[in-house]
Amino acid sequence: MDDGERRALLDAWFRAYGDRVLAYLLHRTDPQTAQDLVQEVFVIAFRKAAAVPEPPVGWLFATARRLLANKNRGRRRQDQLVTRLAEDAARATDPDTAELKLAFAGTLAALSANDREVLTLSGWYGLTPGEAAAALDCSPSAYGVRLHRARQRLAGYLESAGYHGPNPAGKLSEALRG
Amino acid sequence: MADELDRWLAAARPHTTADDGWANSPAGNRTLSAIHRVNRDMAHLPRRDFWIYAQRTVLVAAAAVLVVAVATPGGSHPGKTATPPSLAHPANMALVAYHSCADMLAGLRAHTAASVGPWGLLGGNGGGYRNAFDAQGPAAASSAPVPLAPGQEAAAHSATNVHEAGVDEPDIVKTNGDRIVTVSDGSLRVIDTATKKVTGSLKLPGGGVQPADLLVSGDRALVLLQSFPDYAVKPMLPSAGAGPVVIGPTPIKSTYLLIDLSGPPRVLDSISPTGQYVDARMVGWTIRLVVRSGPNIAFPSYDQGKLTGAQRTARNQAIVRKAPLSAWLPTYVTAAGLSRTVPCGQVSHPTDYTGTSMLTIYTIDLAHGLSDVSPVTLAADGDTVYGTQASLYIASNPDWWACCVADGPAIGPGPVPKRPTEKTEIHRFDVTGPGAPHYLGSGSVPGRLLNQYSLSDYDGYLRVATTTSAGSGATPSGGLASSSSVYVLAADTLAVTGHVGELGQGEQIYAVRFVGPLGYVVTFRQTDPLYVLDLHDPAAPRETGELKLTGYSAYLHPAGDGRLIGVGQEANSQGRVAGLQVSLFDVSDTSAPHRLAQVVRSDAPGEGQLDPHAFLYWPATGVVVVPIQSWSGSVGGKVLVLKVSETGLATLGLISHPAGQRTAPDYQGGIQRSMVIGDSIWTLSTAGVKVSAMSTLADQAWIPFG
Repeated sequence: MDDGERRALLDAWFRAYGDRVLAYLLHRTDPQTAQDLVQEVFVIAFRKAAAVPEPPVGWLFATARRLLANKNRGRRRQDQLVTRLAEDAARATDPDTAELKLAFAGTLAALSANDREVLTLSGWYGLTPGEAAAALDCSPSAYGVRLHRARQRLAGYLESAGYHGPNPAGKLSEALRG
Repeated sequence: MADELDRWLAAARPHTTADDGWANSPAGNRTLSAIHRVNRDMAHLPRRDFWIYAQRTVLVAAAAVLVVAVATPGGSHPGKTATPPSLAHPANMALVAYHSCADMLAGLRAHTAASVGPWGLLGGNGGGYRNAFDAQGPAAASSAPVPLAPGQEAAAHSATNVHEAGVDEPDIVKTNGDRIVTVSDGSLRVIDTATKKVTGSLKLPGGGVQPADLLVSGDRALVLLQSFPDYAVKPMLPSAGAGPVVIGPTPIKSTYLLIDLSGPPRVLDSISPTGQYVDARMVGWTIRLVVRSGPNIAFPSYDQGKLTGAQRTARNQAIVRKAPLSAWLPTYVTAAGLSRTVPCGQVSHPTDYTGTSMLTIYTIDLAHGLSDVSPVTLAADGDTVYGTQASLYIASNPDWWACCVADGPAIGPGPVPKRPTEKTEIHRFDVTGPGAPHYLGSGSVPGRLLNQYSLSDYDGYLRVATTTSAGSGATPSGGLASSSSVYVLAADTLAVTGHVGELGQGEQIYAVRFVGPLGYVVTFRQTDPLYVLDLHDPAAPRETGELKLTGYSAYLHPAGDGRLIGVGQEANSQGRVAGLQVSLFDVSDTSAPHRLAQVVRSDAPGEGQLDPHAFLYWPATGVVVVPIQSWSGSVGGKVLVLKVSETGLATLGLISHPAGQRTAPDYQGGIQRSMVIGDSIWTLSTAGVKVSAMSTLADQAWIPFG
């Protein structure tokens, strides 16, 4: 694969998927680190262009995850997803939204890191199940099972927290069970 | 139904600056150009699809040049021979314990009420919404080998690379030369080094998804299973009727298992404190375990928009003022299922505290077991533990991300909260006696720590290296102006006696190592000044020498005879990273540090953040082992083996492992630990243990983990 082809691919991938990879990182770390890492992801994509599958979005997310894990390893922290959610909830101005976000942040905090990953990857970045499975380095069927279990657990926590009925968090709980 | 779920999930998602067509915006264009520029510059390096390069964003053109402070002749003072500070309660330190339970309750209610906001304790220190799953960080120290039973002679062997000699740190593998004990993938395994076979195995609770560590003394081990949600406890309290739903903290607990290793490994006892595992240190048979918890107070959340922010805060303050003492007092559950609470008499507090975090230190004597853990609690926050044989220091690096956003609202609309000044609080405990540690006092310094290597207790003084980010917002290019300092504090009062600052303007600390009265600090943004600091005079610490190099070291290790080993990344003069590098520095002349030798692997990604436990230096033969990262889960890990001579560094070769079983996303791929036992190097990965000859690296044995 010559350089011209690589550059063209890189441009196409960046334009199509750069937003989502950056959003993924902004949900988990500070803006400076997110900016650094999104660049690293695409530099790596350029270097390995021949080996990157088409469409590359699962691979891009998997790479972003690895870079983030390696960055956090030295700092004794895992990602700051729950903190971001809590901040976001605290800034909501409409009470329904605030309540939904708080409920989500709180119950997500009670789940394992793996559950959090699978739940956010499934809904927030426009990934198909196949792409999300690739992002998590697991098979699509394993992903399906994990997603189902994570949803049940989240619904369980929401219910035991009293979120049922007509309020937004209650509706989320119902939808998760469904 | 699926659409319904998608709708709710989308509604719960925080908006980010990337969501508005960033990739096609001017900012996105700039990023894309930067990527292309980096790729062009890297084009001359050999292509190996196997390895991946880490790249830095394009930075400011000129590096800041630092003026070297030259030591005046005869200016260096002889080392202080002060008598060690009294470890009983020194007179000029206010030991603040509560006078009574009532006094404690009043104090906690008042301080916590002052910390509460309209949504409760969200984002506050120690509140349940702090990220509950802090991964175990690197704890490094070289512990003395465990004393053997009389009549036995084990081969010379290495031990966990710890920070302070004689103070062991939890790690995934421990050896006494005869036997290797390891925890990984949810199992504890015992390997006999003579037969090179797995002789015992024990499945640990938690399904293998919890990070686990070990501390071993004699035939006893403590397995530390880190925080996970307490599924038995409801995370939040439903309110009565259809009124406001309440939000409460997330119950998190960690579990510690006492294991008997005299026969097939078995669990003798266990204890599960509520709260997050922070860290632990062991001296002899005594372990001090640090757990952080937040108050268990529920706040209403859904009030249909009837109250203003100020009214909500006032309401939450009233709730805090009525909360019972049990909301704050930490608890732990024994193996028999009994729940115990820390008594008020064992709780102290520094002069200022927020009430939103409690640190509890449990004392575990491996020989006596878990029947009496003598907990003591301090109403403070903490996430970094540093231990010496006499003291336990717990420092809190305020996680200012919990409240503030540096670059403007990257998440969600709304005003940007003001960022508090960065400072590090340090709390000191006396651990010389058996039983509960004594709280001695607290101090604080500006800036934030890198890790436990930023702290060093020597000769009655505590040296602390911090980086401060200047300003309340980001510079237009996205970076934060910063500089670093080393503060010297009197260990008994934790009052600052002197400091040397303005190291690495515009840079951050990448590595720190204190060796006796000297300190070495590496800062980096594009080039790596290695600063040598003379800390003999606690009132006047100063920089005596500086070495500017490309690349940086992320870990420094004393090699004896005035030499220092540095492991990190090489980079070009613009700061773009170019592969793993290991350096040997001569620091015997503090005014003129220089590099003796360097090995660069341009085909290997550098170690941006080396886990000190993964580093091995065996002085007897000069062998250095450094892990090489592997990005792909389908390829086994590797380590680089080097040999240090008086003036040089030579590559001996690589040791590799086959690919391991794929487990739940576990980014601790590759070879995690290396040990020396006898004349062999033993390397550990999730796939198993390999034994290699130390002199030739020839394969001697492979012990797979089923």
